Amino acid sequence: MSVLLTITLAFQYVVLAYFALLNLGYTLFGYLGLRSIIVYTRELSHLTLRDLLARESYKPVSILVPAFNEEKSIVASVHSFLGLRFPEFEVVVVSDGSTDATILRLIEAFALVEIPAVYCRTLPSAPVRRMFRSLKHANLVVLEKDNGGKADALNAAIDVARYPLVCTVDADSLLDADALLRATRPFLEDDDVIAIGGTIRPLNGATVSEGRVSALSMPKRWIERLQILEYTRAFFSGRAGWSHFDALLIISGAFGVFRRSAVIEVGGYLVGTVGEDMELVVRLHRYYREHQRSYRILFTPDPICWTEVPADLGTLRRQRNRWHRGLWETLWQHRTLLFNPRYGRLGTFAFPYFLVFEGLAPLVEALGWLMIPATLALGIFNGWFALLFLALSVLYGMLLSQLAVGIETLLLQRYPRLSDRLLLFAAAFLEFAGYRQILVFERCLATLQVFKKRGQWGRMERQGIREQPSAPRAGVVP
Amino acid sequence: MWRRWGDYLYALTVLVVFGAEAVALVALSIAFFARLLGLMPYTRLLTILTWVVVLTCVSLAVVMQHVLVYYAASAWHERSRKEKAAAWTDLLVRWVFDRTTVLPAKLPREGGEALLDLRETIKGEDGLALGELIERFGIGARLVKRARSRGLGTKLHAIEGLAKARLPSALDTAFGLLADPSPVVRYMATRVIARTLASLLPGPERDRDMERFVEVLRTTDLPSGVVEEALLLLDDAADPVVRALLTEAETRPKVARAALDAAGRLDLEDLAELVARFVEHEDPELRAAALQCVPKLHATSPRLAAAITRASEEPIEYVRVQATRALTSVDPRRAMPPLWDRLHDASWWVRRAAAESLRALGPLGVAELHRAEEYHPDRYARQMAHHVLSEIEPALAEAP
Repeated sequence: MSVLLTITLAFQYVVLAYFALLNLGYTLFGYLGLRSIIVYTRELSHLTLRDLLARESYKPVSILVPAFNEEKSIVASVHSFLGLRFPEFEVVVVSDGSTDATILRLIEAFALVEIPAVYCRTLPSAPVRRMFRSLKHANLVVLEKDNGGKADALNAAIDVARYPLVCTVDADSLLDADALLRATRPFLEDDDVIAIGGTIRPLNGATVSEGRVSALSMPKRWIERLQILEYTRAFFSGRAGWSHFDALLIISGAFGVFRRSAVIEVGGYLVGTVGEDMELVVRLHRYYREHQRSYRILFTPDPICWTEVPADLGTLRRQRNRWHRGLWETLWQHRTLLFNPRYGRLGTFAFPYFLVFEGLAPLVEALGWLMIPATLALGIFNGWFALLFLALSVLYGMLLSQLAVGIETLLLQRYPRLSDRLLLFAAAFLEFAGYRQILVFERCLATLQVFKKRGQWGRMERQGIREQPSAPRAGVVP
Repeated sequence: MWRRWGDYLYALTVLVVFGAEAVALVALSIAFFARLLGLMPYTRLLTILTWVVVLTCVSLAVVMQHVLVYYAASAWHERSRKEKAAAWTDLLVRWVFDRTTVLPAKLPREGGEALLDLRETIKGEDGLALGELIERFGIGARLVKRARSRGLGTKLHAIEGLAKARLPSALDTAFGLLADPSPVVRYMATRVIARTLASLLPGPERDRDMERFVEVLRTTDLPSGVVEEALLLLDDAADPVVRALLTEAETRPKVARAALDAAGRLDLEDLAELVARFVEHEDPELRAAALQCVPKLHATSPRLAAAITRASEEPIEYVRVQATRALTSVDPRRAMPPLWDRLHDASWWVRRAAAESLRALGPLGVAELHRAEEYHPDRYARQMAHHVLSEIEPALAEAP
């Protein structure tokens, strides 16, 4: 009994040390992220952007849009991409074996005509059935191919792309008008830059007119509000901090710009994984380090992409399950990096961090919850102590969320109403009242399913992008 | 885009709050460890834990309060600043049209920003007059002082102001900033110099500064993208700088490449002959850049045509691609045989460039493309010709 007691106590202390380390890490990244934003805001001013446009100093970009059953949002998204403020770009949409009316919607909206599928096949992909060009927009190309997954569709799109930079976006996303100008600037300033990740913000609740987000307000459902908080935390404090250390491992699949030649050199996206976005970034890091070539993978804190987040629990659980499996698949695929000094900060710091504090986090948290019945059963449960510990973890979590909410307030395009700000505060507390536990359970489940469900995507319910031609509900974005 | 107001204060708040939290978490971890080893009584651990919870509660209240106050204050601040800036812009515009308009002895901050924005927009003599106004109000001197300060944020903000102001008196400071350890500062200073030089009237002083700028571009390790952007910002004043960079044998290849790109983008036709020399340069990247530039400058000579044709048969793929594209600047009758050959090049990109070049040659080229679609002995050439011909229809539909 005393051995069991000691083990239980020791485990409690391990959990606390884990909690302390994790939160110290978050704090550090939050602060570094804020610092990099302060410099960034002064570096990339309106003046610089105007100069870029007026002088046409740019590298042309191919926007790659993989789409699977996106009939609800594809037309609005493509309109938004075609309306970007950038001197030279093309949009390559790949319908990856869609079984709905995705292709028909595109044909109707953009007057597509079939052309011979002649392009340079550098990366392998499932067979292309048809290739279309638009009679309305000379810079729109559409591919219809057999289903092969998102990575496969992106590989086909990279083959078709004509420009030196490729920008991968989700078909249910919208881009800001200046998105490409902002995201491609580092490629001009530094020849070593091979990839740039951008900040993603949830589209739910936003007013969309003419393919652009014109006003922001909180969505109706708490599940969407809680995700707004999560995205704010992840992008404004997490990724900016990792970029500061030159150890950014994730560029969201919803928006990323890559040097096409670099992606082709490493063999394109890995087919058969659900974490293809993270896997590609890790592979780029690995390849360039193994070949001792200087490179940079950066993050731009400007929120330039808006994406629809799940509005129901089932879709959210499937999404998080997939994300966590994707993380594990990448960690396993590149396990040789772990604690390997040959890969610099990546091997000694970033990769172990992702294993211990991202991959294993849900298991540790779930075990922490299981300690309550365990200590009750052993008769060593201390109510006051447990309450204080719980209060500490909730308060600290809220504090980290508020740090990110504070950064969001610095944005010109912020949630403008006071009620929205109060809802964000409330969300930081409510996150701990069931939402977080459900997602911890789902991520634990994903950890157990990682080999069984390898490469399985899962069904995603979409609401679709709804354009609102009338006056915006909330304050107009400046 | 981001607000530049209140971010330092927020960073300070975050630093203080999370600094205190970090200390508290470390203390708690040590206390737990000491308890595990039996070195600390349980009651003391509980006391420490209670204090950490209280501290976190206070920290949360401080951050939440800061965010709410900032939210309200920034909204009010921006509204009032916008109104003031609009009023100052009105007054300054009136001054531009009627110099007898009375201006106050001192400009407040909003007035200074309105003046800088106006200077950025208005060019020519009125622009220069606004520049003098910037000097008269001491804004230029203030910006120069801040551009030399240690804080990166302050420095970048001031450099942006100098880029708008385009003050000849700030050129020395801008040149000095090219030695700054921060790359961002160096890049922004390069742009300030280019913008200022572009606004100067021709004369010996400008010539002297131009020479200095050429020297800087040649010797400072700036990325080619930044060099090219600076050259493009020079606009009408770019010719002598680009010429000097292409003439100097010691110019680094990446700078020469940027100069070639800029020559093409700015349509510096007077440099056509100089650019044409690079078509036979020993560095393949410079050959490719020159070949890319040649059609834009309408450079034509039998020798150049022969060099382009030779380059279209080079072993390096990207040189062949550019040479094949450059064949559009050669007499169509001379260009067609090599383009026909390139239609069955081993590289997909060269085949594509050949078909597109034929299309760009007009009716004669399109007829050749139709012939290739039917009769070219190579299957891939026929396919490419068919593909590019099928693209003509959407392009025509798009045309006004």
